[in-house]
Amino acid sequence: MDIEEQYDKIFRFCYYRVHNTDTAQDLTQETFLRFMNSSYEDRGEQLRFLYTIARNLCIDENRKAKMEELTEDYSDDGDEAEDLIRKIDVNSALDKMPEEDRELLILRYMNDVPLADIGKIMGISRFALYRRLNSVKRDFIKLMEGGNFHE
Amino acid sequence: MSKDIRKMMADAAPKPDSTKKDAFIRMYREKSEQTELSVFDIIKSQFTYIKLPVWLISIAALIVAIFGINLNRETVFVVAAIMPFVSAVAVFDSMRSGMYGMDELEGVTRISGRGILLARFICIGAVHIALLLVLSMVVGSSSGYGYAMTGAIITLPYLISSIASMIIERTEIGRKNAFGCILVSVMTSVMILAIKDEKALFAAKYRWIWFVMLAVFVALECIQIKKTFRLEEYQWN
Amino acid sequence: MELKIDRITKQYKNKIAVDRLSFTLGKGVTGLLGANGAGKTTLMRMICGILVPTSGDITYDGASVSEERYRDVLGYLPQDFGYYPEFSGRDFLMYFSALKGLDKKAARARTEELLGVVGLSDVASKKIKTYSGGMKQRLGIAQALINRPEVLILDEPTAGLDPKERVRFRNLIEEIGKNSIVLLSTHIVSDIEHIADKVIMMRSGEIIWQGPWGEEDGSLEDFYLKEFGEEN
Repeated sequence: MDIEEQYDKIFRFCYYRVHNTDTAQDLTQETFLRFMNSSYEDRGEQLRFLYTIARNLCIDENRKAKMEELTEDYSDDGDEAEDLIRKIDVNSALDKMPEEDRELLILRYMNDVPLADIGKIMGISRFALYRRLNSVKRDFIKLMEGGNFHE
Repeated sequence: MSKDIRKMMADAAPKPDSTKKDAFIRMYREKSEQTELSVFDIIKSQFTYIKLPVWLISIAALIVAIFGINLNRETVFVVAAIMPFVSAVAVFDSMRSGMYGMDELEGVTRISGRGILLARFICIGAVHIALLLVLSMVVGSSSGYGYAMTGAIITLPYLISSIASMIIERTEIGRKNAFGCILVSVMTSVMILAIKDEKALFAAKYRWIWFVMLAVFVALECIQIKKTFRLEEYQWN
Repeated sequence: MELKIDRITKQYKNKIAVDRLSFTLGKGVTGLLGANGAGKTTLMRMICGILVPTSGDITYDGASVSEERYRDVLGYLPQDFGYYPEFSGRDFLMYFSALKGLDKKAARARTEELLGVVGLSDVASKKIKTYSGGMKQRLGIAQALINRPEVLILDEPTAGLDPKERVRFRNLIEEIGKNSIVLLSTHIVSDIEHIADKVIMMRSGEIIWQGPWGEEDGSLEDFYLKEFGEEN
């Protein structure tokens, strides 16, 4: 487990749960701090452990913030207009998906987490994961086509 | 399809604030126990960057030795004539930081310029010592000179050209091009081939001279390696 | 976070390149101004620990510049640098990541991140020899940032950059200066006019002026020309 490799990935994972870059960044850092301070020995399970910490922190955060209004902020760091539109399309399609499906897509396609680890993080069998992944992928594409997605 | 989704998602991924990220990763690195780099780490970092010709020419020497077993005496000198190139290419390759203007950049890394040179010398040196031993065995078995004398005949040209190459590479002109190393190897090589028929030089009663020379050149080699490691100051212009 | 330069001198046979300079740098961007041959590069090489001063000390938070601990937090862009001919832009950054102690996975992540920061992602697999001067310079800047340095030394970093690249570079440096010590040498005043928190002016190995510089202090260009009046 290396922080250079995982930082952005945990950040994205948190972002799609709390929908705010500042909060997501704070939660990311908290995740790594807790990870570091834990006496977790099993090296093979580190990734799963990291995501589990992150997810729990996000759940707590959302519970706290439930009453407050959610403000989404897309970071538009000097993107070309077209890229920005695509970015918004992808993000709004993701927003429309159920929490678990979205998490699956992010783990698999945004963060390149190995399937075996995803199964453990989400607590489902490998076989179920395959089926689930295929149907989620279809749903996502449908949502994208429903938006302004032209290829 | 999955590839498209991956690309789309990667482009759409939100990015964290870089200033905050920098500060945090720095702090995280500091807190997590970081050990000093070991010699092994340093060697690992350089091994894959040693260029192919260095290994190829060593293999060439080995092939000549193996196929030349039946040629008896001649093989010793052919192999001995290849050795100056083996060492010159190695010296040239390990010291190429200066030639390609990478020395300043490499000097400020954790490993440091000295560490890099050390790693390259260790990698190549270990392989070459093994090579010299194997060559002495293979060629020595049928050369008629015995293992020790064969080893001396093969190793001396190796040492002469590596010592000369290191001296040249440390100069301002030498570091800018490969010509010096090539010249030294050719000269050493020619020298060996020129004396090969002077049978008297290799007679049993003079062999002690070869071993004394070998000892002297091993000592010189060590001195040159040490000198090479002494950090050179940059010329101010 | 304090870089302390204490009475350092560099003397060559018949010339004093740097003459008893003392100053202290803290967080923020410091511009080092001076004509060619003023001793800027010699000074920067000493600060990076690759050139040994004739006398004087340079320390960073108590650590000597010759320690691994210091090199671990140091980033340096020399005025001129080369590359091994077989290297692509990505290879170059991977190589220096390894030398700076990042493991393979970390190196890969950091390399891709930096290629994005300096806008070289599209040409990352191309050989460096096909790069333009500006692209090569951007690669050099990326290289200096690999270890997220606390001390960043940049020798004439804007050389070869086109106007658009300069703007992008200035923004990047301003951002980094919030958390790091940045020392940037140049002979072009406009490079640092709006981003430097502090300015040091050098001539013939000596500091002729140093101090904080803000918008309210007026035009740095005019001041610089006045100070270097007799040369221009």
